[in-house]
Amino acid sequence: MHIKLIAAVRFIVWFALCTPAMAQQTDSTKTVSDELQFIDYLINNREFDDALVLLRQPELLTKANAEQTDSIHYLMGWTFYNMKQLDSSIVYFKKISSTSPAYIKGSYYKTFELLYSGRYAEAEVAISNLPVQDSLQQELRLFQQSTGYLLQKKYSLFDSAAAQFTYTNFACATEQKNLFTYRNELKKVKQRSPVLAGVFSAVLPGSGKLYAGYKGQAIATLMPCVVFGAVAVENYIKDGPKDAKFIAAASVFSIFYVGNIWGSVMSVKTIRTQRNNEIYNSILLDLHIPLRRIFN
Amino acid sequence: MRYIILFCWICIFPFAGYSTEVVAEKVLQKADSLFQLADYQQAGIWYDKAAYLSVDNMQKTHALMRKGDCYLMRSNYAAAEQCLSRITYYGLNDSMQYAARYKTALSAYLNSSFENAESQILQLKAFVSDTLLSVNAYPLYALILNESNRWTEAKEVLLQYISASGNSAEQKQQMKQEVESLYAGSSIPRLKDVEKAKKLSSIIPGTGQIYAGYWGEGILSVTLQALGLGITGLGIWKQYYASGVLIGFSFFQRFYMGGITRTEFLAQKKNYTLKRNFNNSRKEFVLKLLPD
Repeated sequence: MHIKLIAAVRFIVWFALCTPAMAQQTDSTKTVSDELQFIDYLINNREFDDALVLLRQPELLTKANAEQTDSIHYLMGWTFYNMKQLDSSIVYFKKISSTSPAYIKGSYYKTFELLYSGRYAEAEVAISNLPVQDSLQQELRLFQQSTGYLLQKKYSLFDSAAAQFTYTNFACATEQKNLFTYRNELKKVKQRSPVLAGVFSAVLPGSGKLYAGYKGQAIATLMPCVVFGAVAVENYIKDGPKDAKFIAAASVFSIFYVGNIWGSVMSVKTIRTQRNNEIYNSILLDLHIPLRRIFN
Repeated sequence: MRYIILFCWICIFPFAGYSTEVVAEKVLQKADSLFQLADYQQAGIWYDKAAYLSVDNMQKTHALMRKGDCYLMRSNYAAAEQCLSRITYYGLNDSMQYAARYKTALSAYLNSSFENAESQILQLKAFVSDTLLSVNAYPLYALILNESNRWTEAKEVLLQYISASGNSAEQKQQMKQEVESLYAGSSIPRLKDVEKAKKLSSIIPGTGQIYAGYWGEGILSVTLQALGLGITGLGIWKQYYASGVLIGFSFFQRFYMGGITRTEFLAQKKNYTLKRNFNNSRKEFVLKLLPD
């Protein structure tokens, strides 16, 4: 009975001492893991500037162990990704070590960002180093690799990579199928000749634009050439080649005529770039969707 | 011993909650001190930390509202609106709900999100049962209605606010008269019908600009178009058919089409100027009515 009483008193003393310590947890909230959880909360609430302020605290990195350092790099990369600052995001995703739980997500997002930024050579290296732990990641890796080839118009490499798709995972099956549609659309983009467009426009102003694919612009180009050409001809017939009215009209006509040829030559390249960009935007949008499905 | 342990376990539960609340309270104090030092970014982070640690929604809401204040002090109205949109209104009492919705509406108004601002005021009216409290939001509501060109409604709202205010009958009468004169039918801007202005310019060149209040531009437009037609006529008369028709008519056609586009722009510019002049002058009066 006496021993039980002493034990009970000891317990009460211990409890009395521990309770204020539990109540005063202010210092413990400053621990790195608590801070990282808070930063994650800030990012989820789209308070990116505040998250960066905290992540850039020098004492956070000095206090952090190896695993927490990886978390800091991941959170930096993730914040910059959300702020659409892809170059900075890539730098931090690259710093995550392969032992970190954030390594897989960071690696796939880094590859996406490299492809999105048009850094294809770096993207190919990143794809070859992507971690593959299961069939889903295998599909995702193949999907990113195929997309990279398609963006570079390496059709034979695309075909051999895309032939390995199994379409077994809903997370990327639709987007994998879509790649073939984009491939066909890219192949369909007509390879017009700039020289031919220039020749057409020299023969009939505006026809080069029509050949390039700009129907509306063809008429808009033709009109000033017709107007000033007709005025120049009329003045030539009435007043001869030395008349000021003829010289003025012929000069203006010449400017429009040369401009029409030059514009047609340039328009071939412009329309091709424009069409390619439309398809690229669709490809890049599709590249993003599986990542959001798998990792969010 | 068994009973003592049981007693201790019972005691743990209130402390468990208490400890989190105490931490959140201390974080709030730290945030307040940073706010006092005008370090609004750091204060905002600490307020958010308090919101993160708070279990009680009242405390969380208070912390988020203070974070909103930090953004307002930094004139970052979009961030203030976004931050205040994180407030959940479940379990808030009338005064807290009023304060939170009012601040959200104010941030939205300052961020020119007038639809969201009005939505917050309407929800405030619907969910805050204490009408003596909700009526305090009416001056802000009037400012929002002014920006939506709903001046008659703004006037009614201001009159309701004055009626409900604690001023003497004489003061109320004087203020109501002031509102009546500020929102009198003759002083309310008569906005130009943009489509009508365009139609006028397409039927009789220059008249659209004159209707929009730009006499000089209207006269210049009609002169230039007449000059184009003149060149056409002169060309035909002098038997320079191609020069006359193609150059003269092109000249006329360019100014005719350009005149219509310009009329649209001028009518919109006029409407903007009328609205701004009216709203800015009324804003001074309404700001005097705002509760402290």
